Amino acid sequence: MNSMQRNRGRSILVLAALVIALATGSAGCAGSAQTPDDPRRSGVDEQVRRKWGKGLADLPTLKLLAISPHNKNITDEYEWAFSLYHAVTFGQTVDIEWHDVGGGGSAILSYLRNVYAGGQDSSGIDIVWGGGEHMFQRMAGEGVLEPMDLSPEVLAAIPEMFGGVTMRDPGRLWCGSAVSGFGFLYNRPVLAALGVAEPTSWDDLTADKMFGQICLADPTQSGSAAAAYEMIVQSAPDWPTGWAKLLGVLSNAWRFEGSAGAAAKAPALGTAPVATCIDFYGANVAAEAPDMLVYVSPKGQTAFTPDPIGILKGAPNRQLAQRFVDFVLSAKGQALLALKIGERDGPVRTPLGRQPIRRDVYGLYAEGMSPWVVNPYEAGNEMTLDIDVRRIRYAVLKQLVRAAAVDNLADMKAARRVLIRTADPARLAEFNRLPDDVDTVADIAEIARRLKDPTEAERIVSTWRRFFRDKYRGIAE
Amino acid sequence: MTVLPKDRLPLTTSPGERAARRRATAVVVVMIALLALLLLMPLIRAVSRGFTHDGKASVYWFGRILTNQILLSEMLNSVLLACTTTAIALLLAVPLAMIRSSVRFRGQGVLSVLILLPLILPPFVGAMSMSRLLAHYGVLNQILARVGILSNAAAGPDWLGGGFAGVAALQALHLFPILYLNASAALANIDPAYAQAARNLGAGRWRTFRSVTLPLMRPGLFAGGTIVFIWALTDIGTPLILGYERLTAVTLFKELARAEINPRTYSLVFVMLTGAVTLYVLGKFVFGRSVRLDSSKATVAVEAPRLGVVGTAWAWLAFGGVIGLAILPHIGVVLTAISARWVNTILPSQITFDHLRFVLVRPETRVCIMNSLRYAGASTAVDVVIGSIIAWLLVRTRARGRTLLDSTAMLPLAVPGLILAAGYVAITARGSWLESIGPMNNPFVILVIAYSVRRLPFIVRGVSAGLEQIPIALEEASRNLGASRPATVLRITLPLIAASVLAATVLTFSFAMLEVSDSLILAQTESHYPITKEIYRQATSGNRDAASVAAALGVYGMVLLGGSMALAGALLGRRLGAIFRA
Repeated sequence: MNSMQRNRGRSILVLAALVIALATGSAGCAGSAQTPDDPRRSGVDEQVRRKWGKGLADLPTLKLLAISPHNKNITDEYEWAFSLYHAVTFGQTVDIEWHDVGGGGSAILSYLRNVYAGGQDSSGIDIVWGGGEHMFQRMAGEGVLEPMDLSPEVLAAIPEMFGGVTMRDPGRLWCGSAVSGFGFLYNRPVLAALGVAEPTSWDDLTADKMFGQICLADPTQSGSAAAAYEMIVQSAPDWPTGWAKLLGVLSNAWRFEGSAGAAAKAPALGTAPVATCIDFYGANVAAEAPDMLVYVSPKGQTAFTPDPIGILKGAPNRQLAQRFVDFVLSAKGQALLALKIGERDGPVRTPLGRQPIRRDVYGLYAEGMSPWVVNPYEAGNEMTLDIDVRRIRYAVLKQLVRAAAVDNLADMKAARRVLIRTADPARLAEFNRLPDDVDTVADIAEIARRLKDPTEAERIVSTWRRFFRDKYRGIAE
Repeated sequence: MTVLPKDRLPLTTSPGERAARRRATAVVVVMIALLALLLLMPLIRAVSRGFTHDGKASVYWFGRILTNQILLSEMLNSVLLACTTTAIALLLAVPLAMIRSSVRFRGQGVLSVLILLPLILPPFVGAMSMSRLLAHYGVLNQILARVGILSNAAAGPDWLGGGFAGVAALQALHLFPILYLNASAALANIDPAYAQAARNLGAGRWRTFRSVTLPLMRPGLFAGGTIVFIWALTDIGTPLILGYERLTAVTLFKELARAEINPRTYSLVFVMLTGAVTLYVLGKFVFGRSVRLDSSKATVAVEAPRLGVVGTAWAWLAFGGVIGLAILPHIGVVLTAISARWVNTILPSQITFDHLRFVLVRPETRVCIMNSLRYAGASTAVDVVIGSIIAWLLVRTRARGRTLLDSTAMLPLAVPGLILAAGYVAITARGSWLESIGPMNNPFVILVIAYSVRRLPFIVRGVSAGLEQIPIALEEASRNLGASRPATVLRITLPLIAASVLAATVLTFSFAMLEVSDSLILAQTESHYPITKEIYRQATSGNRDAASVAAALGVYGMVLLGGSMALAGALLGRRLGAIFRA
């Protein structure tokens, strides 16, 4: 074959490849979630026949649309259980179309903002489930949620506040569906090699020997981390001492990750021997090597945050959405979170290992729960916080941590290194000094108000960032 | 051969040529309109908040950026990083491409495919694997402790704290294949007669390279260099792995990931885009000048010398050293996929094939792989067509508006993925005229648009470089001899630029398969997930075996992409590397 023919052949092949690519591309995408052999089906089928006069397979199917960062184990178990419940109760099965926009609460909030930006009155989605209480407070504030009906039984079983954290919205725009604790995970052999004692409390994380060894989470991206930092502050007698204690932990950071989940990988990968993380992430990571990886929920110092559910503005299937919320918050729906496989009302394929938010469920299903599910309401597990102070300080503390530590990590570490080396009290006092506009609780209330305005927020945070950078550099010189 | 400071096409005044110019200008307008609709409109929708203050149009936020020392120093740092990364990538890629083009040795075909592997590192699990390798208490330090260089692993340095130099080195190792591909394509287009003439006239090897080969390669190096430069300028993956955050792109990413995004962030996006385009135009002015070629690339046939055993060993050492370093993270992904337990050890302490098996039999895996192939295949096809037309307009015509078209076509490289995806969500929201292609329905169309827009620069640059190296005289001769324009394109132009088109297509397809931001936000339901989103879902599931299952998916992704590259080579007649030989 001569060169010209070969070249022509190549050209034809290139064109053919293009045509094939376009043809296959337009062929559409297919695929469906697989339903396992559900042992509940035969029993439910009989109930459905008795009540509705036809079998499960012959019932009409409704569709519910939900946006959620939850993993497939959770979404599958809830879709199967809810569909069967709905078939028995209302004579229709339900398919849930789960939408995931690649992230937790922040990603969902950004997505919904873009969707509703042009004044749209519906996102086309019914339910938003998961993403942290703070994101739901924002959603509620921005008017993208609709009030739900919560039965007296649900209201009695779920406290409005717990440990200083809001568990359900007083206006019923959202309600927690599970709770997560926040503690830390560590790599035991690495700490031993470093000669560092195994930590059991947040105070232990302030030790000089912990310098550079902790993987933390950015409180402006992780609500659980923000709640934990507030708790560290409140465990001290006053605000300046609390801030100094928190800064003691922050300046031991190896790095700040975007989410508490990402931070949890550090001890297993070897990037940092200690990481703060959500309890079920910690427990799952530790399960890979229980003799080496240890998760600690600091007794009496654990912040519990809710995993909320809400109905979106303009939900196309409003009634069905309410029924789903009712199911998730029912004792049966709550038990699904914590029970072992094979238990009545338990999951079919995977134990979910999450903590129900309803107090009564821990008593009703005590026997069948997975061993690592901890009752947060048990005495001694929570820490009582000053709710008013927390409410005022919440937004301020997050931005302050961001300016002091997350955005100034290198300079902060350099300064802490000098403090460890010199043990100079004057330098330490300078290190702990707060910006003038937040050094009293009264100032904080004023700053919290100003932070709501984007122009003011940008000025304040930029000023803080410069303040901390200059201060750290002065100490390190 | 003459290096021209301006356009190499002669000024024309004949009525026929004026008409041709008008027609070309009309096509330029159509292309700019297309890009305005698919790129600028969503972009403006997403960043418009950065242009208002107190409810009025304002440049207030720009002022805040320009008076913020920290942000300015981050911008300077970003430019320095991009320059350093591009320089290192050039130093790695050009010598390897020269070896590849000038000699033959055993195993060359294998190395030609292996050298592309650094480009196909799957997201999330690739970063995890890199972290494990370079961690303070990670694999590298454990190896150093095992061989006695360190007293124990904890005594080693934290390689992940490598800072600026570390980021530049890792970026270069990741991106040098882009330059290698472009340099190889450029070398394939050079007529060996030029170098031979120089040698016959007494020039040494170095002088021949410096004065003849390098200027002739310039379009290809510029094409690859701009892509590597802008990539490095806007990269977030490598800096985040290394925790090096004093960069504009990282600041932007972190701001955009927050729930409360300050309007200043949107202004900063605009500043970064303007900066990237300005640097590109400047670079084009300084480095991107065309060369006038008076002959085709194949006036003489030169059989490259075959290396002996020692020469082959050296060649393997050069290629193998670079490739070996660059594919360590890939090896980490494979090991993660087969590990049942991997904590505090150099290699997994317990091995299992369950994750690979589990992923293989899941129907979701087949669905996401097919989806990725569809999205990437279709978007690559769209890119090849649109990108080639744009390249042709830029190189072969004197149409008005070419600089604007050129800059707009390069813009997607610098646009943060989150911004563009947010723009697509906004323009396809419920009630808008584009609702039917929005992610709430079948996201195929919007994903293909998103992928195509983001990877368009690869084709535009690659094909432009190819066209710049082909003398226009050949096409003119074909037309003079009575061939129609399509026949000329099919029988003369396309075969001559096949290497450049193929190189650009391989890059476009690979990066489309690995696309993250648009995939995460726009592919929302499981039946539409591409493989990158499925990897993300698995990696962040919080399940006990999350990392291993995600890595298993990554392994299949790498096999698929590696296979596609090998297939591309086989489809076009010979092994991939050989394509770049004329």
